[in-house]
Amino acid sequence: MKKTETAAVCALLFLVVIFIWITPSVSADKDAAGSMHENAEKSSGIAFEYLKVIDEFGGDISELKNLLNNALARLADSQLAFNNGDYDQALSLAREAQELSVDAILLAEPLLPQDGSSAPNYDVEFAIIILKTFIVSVVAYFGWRFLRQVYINNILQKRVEVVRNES
Amino acid sequence: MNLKEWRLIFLTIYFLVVVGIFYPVARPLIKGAEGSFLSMAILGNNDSTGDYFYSDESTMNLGEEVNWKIRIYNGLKDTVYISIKVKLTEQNAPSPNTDTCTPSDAPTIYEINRVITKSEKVDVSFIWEMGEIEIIDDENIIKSLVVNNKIVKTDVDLNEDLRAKLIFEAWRYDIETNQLEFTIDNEKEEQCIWNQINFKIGN
Repeated sequence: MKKTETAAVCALLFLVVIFIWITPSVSADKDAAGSMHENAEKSSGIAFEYLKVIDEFGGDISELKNLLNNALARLADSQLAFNNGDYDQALSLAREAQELSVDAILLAEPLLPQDGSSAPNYDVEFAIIILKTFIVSVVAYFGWRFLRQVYINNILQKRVEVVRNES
Repeated sequence: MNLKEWRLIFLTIYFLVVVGIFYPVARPLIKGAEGSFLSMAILGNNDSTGDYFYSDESTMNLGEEVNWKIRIYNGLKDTVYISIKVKLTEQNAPSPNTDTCTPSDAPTIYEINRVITKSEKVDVSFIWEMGEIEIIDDENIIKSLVVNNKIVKTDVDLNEDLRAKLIFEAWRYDIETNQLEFTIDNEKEEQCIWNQINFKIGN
């Protein structure tokens, strides 16, 4: 074998070794980024569910919403880096998204309604309002009758006084 | 004042009290009846639905940056998690189907995720320019765009006439299925929200 051929074979072998060495590393980075992205997606989904429950119960969600929006922005950036083939960046951003989502979950937990409580029920509220209206109507009816009687008594009293004065 | 006038005053007070009692419950019901929808608009350089490009109505010149906004209004009855999926494809490719609520099959090149509360209006910047275009024989391939100062790699093959379109689809996170869905349910019907801007790549 000539020197040039030997050099070419060596170079080829070297490239094969490098390829074998790099390929699993890239694949591992890709898998890690994909897996972390999936976890971050799940966590942000849970955080959103909590936010919805707190919102339904009339709780303050402003801080939670900001935190979750930051997590979702990182998640989108992570997806972009992944699509661009920058798996290190994708992993790092997905990790940030995961951390922010977990922070959102931790922030939401104390704000969640206690066991046994339920979301506002409009049927019950409506029944209470009908009851209130009924009570107000009854009070108004008897109140009006009473005031009318006072008014009439007052008029009659004045008439009696006028008759007395005239006689 | 006579008795009739007193009665009128009394009835007015009674009526106001009853309205006051009903108001807290009636308000959300009235608001709900006003409509239940989600809207998305793509606003051009002057915050209007037009003026998307500088040179003419539909030419995107290389090296030119356009400043768009995606305006989303949540008229639904509760808070939503919306993902705007931006897709780039050649102009003759199928658009999303409104009747069947089928999204475009072009790959998503850029995403914007937001939680939007009831009755909230959100403006999201979408500042973009063409990146790299590769010309091989008769094929013109968009290799990248720059969106909000980030490089977005693509691989969109255009015809010779260099016509493309950007599709914006609003996907909603469904807590029942734990995934994003293109269909947005409101009380009356299934709704799907999308928009597209056609353009030609200029010099």
